[in-house]
Order: sequence, then C-alpha cells, then structure tokens
Amino acid sequence: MMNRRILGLLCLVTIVLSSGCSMMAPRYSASISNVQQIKDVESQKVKVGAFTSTPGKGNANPISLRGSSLASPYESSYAKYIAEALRQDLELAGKLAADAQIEISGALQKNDINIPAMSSGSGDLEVRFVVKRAGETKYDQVKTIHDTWDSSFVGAVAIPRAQERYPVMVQKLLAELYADLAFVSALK
Amino acid sequence: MAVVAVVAGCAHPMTMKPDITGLALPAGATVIARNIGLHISPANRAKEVTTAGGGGDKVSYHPFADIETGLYKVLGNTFQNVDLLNSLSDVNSIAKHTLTLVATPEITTTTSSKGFFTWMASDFTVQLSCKFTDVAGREITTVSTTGTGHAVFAELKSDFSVAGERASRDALDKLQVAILQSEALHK
Repeated sequence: MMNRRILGLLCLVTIVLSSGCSMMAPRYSASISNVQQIKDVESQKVKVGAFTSTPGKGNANPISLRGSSLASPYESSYAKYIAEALRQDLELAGKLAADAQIEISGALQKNDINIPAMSSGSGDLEVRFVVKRAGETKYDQVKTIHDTWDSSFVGAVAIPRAQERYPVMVQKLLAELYADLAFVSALK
Repeated sequence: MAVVAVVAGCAHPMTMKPDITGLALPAGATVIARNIGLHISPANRAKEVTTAGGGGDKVSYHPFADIETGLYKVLGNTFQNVDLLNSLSDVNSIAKHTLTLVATPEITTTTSSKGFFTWMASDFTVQLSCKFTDVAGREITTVSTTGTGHAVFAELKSDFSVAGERASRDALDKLQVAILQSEALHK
C-alpha cells in the first residue's frame, strides 16, 4: 500500500517535472578551444554591438520542449544570448574593448530545439554576423548549425538534456564563425 | 508506472558550469608574472560522473568540461597570460606562448538531495585541486579548495543545475585566493 502511494506520488512528480514548466537555458559558458582560436588571431580589439531577432518560422522564443518552455537567461532574449556569448569569448581571449573601432553585430534568424519522443534531439541556429570598422562593413555573412544528440522518450531525461545543450549549440555556431578566414581577416 | 520505473533507473543530466560574471582579480592583488598553460586531458574533458540525486535517482555531469572555462578565467586573472595546452608534450605551444608553468586540475564531487520526490541535487560539493609544474613536469605546488552549493526547490525547478553551478563558483573563488596567496607560485 505504501509502495503504491510512493509510486503514485513519483508518477505525479514525474509528470509535473516533464511538462508545463518554465525553465531557463543555462547561462553561456565559453568553449576554451574557441577562445584559444580567437586569441591566437593577431587582431585588433573588438566591441560587441546590437544583436536583434528576426521574427520568422523556426526562430522560437521561448523554445518549446514537450510543453515546457525554455527562456533565455539574458533578458529573455536569445539574440542577447548570442551577443553575451560573443562578448564572453572575446573577453576571455583578451580581445574585447568598449572603445574599439571594430564592432560585431548581428541578427538571430533561426533558434529552435526539437526533442520528439521516439528519436534523437536536434537544434538549429542561424545568425547573421556583421563586422564594421569605423562604420564601414567588412564582413556580412550568415552562419548556420544543425546539432543532434541522444535523447530519450522520458521527459525528465530528454528535457534537461536539451536544456543543457543550448550553450553547446551556441559554441558550435561561434566555432563556425571563428573558423571563417573572411571573419578573421575582418578583425585585422 | 512504466515511466516512473524507467526514470528511477536513469541518471538525469545536469551541469556544474559556474557563472563567472564578476570573477575578477581583487583590487590591489598582484598578477604572477609568468605565462601558464592549462592542461586537461581529453579523457578528463570527456569524463562523465554519476552521483546521487533526489528520491533515489542519480544525476550525471562532466566536471572537467564544465569547470574548464572558470579555471581558464581564474588563471587568466592571476597569471600574466594563460593558454590552453592540449598535450603536456606540446613543445610547439609551450614555445609559442612562452609558457613556464603548467596547471593540471583534479576534481572530485559529491552530491545529495533533501528532496524525496524530485531528482535534482540540492547540495553539491566540489573538491578542486590544481597541480602546478614547470614545463619539464617538476611539481612546484598543488593548491586545493572545496566549494559548496545549495539550492531549494523553487530555484531547482527552473534551473536543475543551480547547486552545482554555485559549488563550482565557490571553488573557483577560493582557488583564486589560494593561488594569489601561494608563495611557491610567486617565486
């Protein structure tokens, strides 16, 4: 009888934790290999300008995870999440300066995560990055990533796994940017 | 019922990535005038550990990968320069970045939960030690700290990892103080 009660309560808690919750994406944590890559570039100091979000299909805010919602920890804006990620990478690399001539800005165009019950999880990001030096555009390109990971049909596993994946998706997006020789050249 | 059975046997993913906002060199502190390499082996970076969560469940996370950014920040604050050293025998990186010291971390963790009906860890402890050697591998000193983090359900329901994040940040704050106070590292 007691066991049934406990299992019943566990079932209830599992359902509550598996659906209908408002959650926050983890704050960005830089990938040190990304930081080292940008640090090793002989570039000038850079500042991070405005990042906006372009409304459209696939640009979710908040992101829906099986009925739960995942919000950005940066003023509920995923565009600001990208800006913060860039700022953190550049700061750790010693390349950030508020009075720099070179400014990186951009627009978030796609932002979504899918965790269907019977297959792997996936996430998509698409961001337009613009580099300007003293107001003149030196770089204007769109970077896109499609990320996949092992998921689970159990929400209490699949949802936190998707939640913790968001900063990894951003790291992957920025790795694409830093590997672009045209971007690196625009910072020199 | 089936869901509960499966969930009970699972390790729930979480992180222990600290918020490093404001993790800066204290006013008046002197930077150690040496270039240092941070080395985390690929095996340690990929290492996933599983410890106790709440309600008989377990939580899993990647201690080295999660704390790497914070360590890089602390070493960058306290030393003249820090660079990532992928291999202890990477003589090209050692020469390129004129490294004279290498920091190699070790991390152990314990977790527990006061919650009977929720899987998240409400209490988290991080034992963080950093072995400092010269580039030939001779030990100079080892600095060790212990960080703790606690969270209540109201916090854990929106951020499953908050106790681990707090413990990591606490360990890093203490590590920075210990490095700055180390006479061996200032020689």
